Amino acid sequence: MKKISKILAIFVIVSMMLVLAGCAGTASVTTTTEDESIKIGSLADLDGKIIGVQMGTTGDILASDEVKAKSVERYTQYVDVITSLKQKKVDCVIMDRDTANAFLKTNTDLVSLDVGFEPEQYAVAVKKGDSALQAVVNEVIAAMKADGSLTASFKAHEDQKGAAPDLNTSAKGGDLIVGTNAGFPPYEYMNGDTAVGVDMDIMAQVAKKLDKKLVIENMAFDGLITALVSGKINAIAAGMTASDERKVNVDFSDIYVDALQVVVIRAGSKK
Amino acid sequence: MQHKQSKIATWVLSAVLFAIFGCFVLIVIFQDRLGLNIASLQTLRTNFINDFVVDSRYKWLLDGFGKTILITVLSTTLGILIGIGLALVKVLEHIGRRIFFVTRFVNIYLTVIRGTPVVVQLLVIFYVIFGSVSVSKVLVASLAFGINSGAYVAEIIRAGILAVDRGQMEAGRSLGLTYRVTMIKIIMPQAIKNVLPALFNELITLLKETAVAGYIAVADLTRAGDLIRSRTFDAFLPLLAVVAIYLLVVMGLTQLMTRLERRLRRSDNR
Repeated sequence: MKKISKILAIFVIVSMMLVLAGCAGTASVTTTTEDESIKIGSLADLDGKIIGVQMGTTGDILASDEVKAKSVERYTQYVDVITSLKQKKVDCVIMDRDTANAFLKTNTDLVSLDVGFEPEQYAVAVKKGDSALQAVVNEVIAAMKADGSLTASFKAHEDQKGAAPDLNTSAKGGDLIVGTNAGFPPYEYMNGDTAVGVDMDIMAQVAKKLDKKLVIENMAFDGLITALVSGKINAIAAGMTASDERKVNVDFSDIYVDALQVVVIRAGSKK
Repeated sequence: MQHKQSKIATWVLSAVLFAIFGCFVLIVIFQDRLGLNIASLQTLRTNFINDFVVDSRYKWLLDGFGKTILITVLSTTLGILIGIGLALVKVLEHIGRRIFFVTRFVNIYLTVIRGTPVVVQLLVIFYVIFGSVSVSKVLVASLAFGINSGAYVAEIIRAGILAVDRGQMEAGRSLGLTYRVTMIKIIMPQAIKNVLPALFNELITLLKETAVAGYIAVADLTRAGDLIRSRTFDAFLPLLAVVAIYLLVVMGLTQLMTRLERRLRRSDNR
């Protein structure tokens, strides 16, 4: 009798949890156009909305300073922000266009809007005064732009199925420790348990040129500059915008891609 | 005599340390007037202004602190309520009375909640259980921490009740009181005396545990420190401020707890 009641109890609890999870899952999938009360079509529509961002990114700064949002929810990674958007916990997300497109491929219930934010440029960050490393990175970026390997890299990582870069493990010159925030495709994302992406490909070339081993440190985006300044990492390759505020603390390489912040909304929210 | 001497010594030492700290602060503020040109001191002052004064960033810390306290209070209340319920079921189980299914459920609840990290429980409640609704994150966090705390509080209260001498129950019954009345009028008051210090500890633990609420983007004290860091890229002062605030609150609560214990011990003539 005891054993039966134990099995019965576990069965009931597990089925209750599955039902709960099922309800939650199905409800979030059916984002119908009719019951969507949030409608966003332009920059002005962002006022009074709940905006989701990743902490420390340009999107975060835009949401905090240039928009009169009802509240800004700062998550640690884009996966959480997108999940919250799908679950109607935030009304919209301000994020980089390329990463937005990567997420939109697998989330067909979301759309992105260009509301006219200022264009930005990504660059690799090095410690202030580290002109040697800065020069090498600039050489590599120029070379990759010239011979088309940068475009090839973008193409290879388009569907998040790109290969890991050559870590140059047989190098004799020491380690080149590069900080990044995987979870930002196509610039960096996890393929299995290695961080891969356009930024990783660029830094692999830099490591080869310096005859150093490429070591990739994956960390939270808002911890990257602090790690660079304290010397834990030698460079940041994380789709980082070369903004004036950041230039106070770090030096940037040449620009390697133009980017833009867009607003991602649920399909039903489109005006 | 010795007690008084050590008390005076503590006060004198604290005053001296405070004075040294005060002098240091004054030196940093007035370093120009003093003709000092030390780079690290200048960086310290610039960082302090960037971290706390610019854009009234200190307000972020205050708001975060308010949220942390709110979540802690709500979770503790919920935790104690859940804990009492669970503890009663466990005590009944101990004396052999098992309520079909409720006892089983309570045991499974305790196993699951104590067997998984609180961060994971928080994520499950936020993304799975409340997966399709927009709900106040403070309430979600309080619910998660309350449910987690309830499992541990149950053990505390159960141990407190069972620690009361069996003789008390026997005495009560032999005086003709029913089990219920003995429990409420004789056992429970003594159990509460056993339980209060441990419950206070649970409150202090919860206060620090709420630091992970940032996983669901709750703007608590730790997150406020993160936010300042993400704008100024200085880790030292914001983290120091967050540590100091947590420490001061915990020290204050511990002081309260010591005073409370002292009062409770007054009725023990042993």
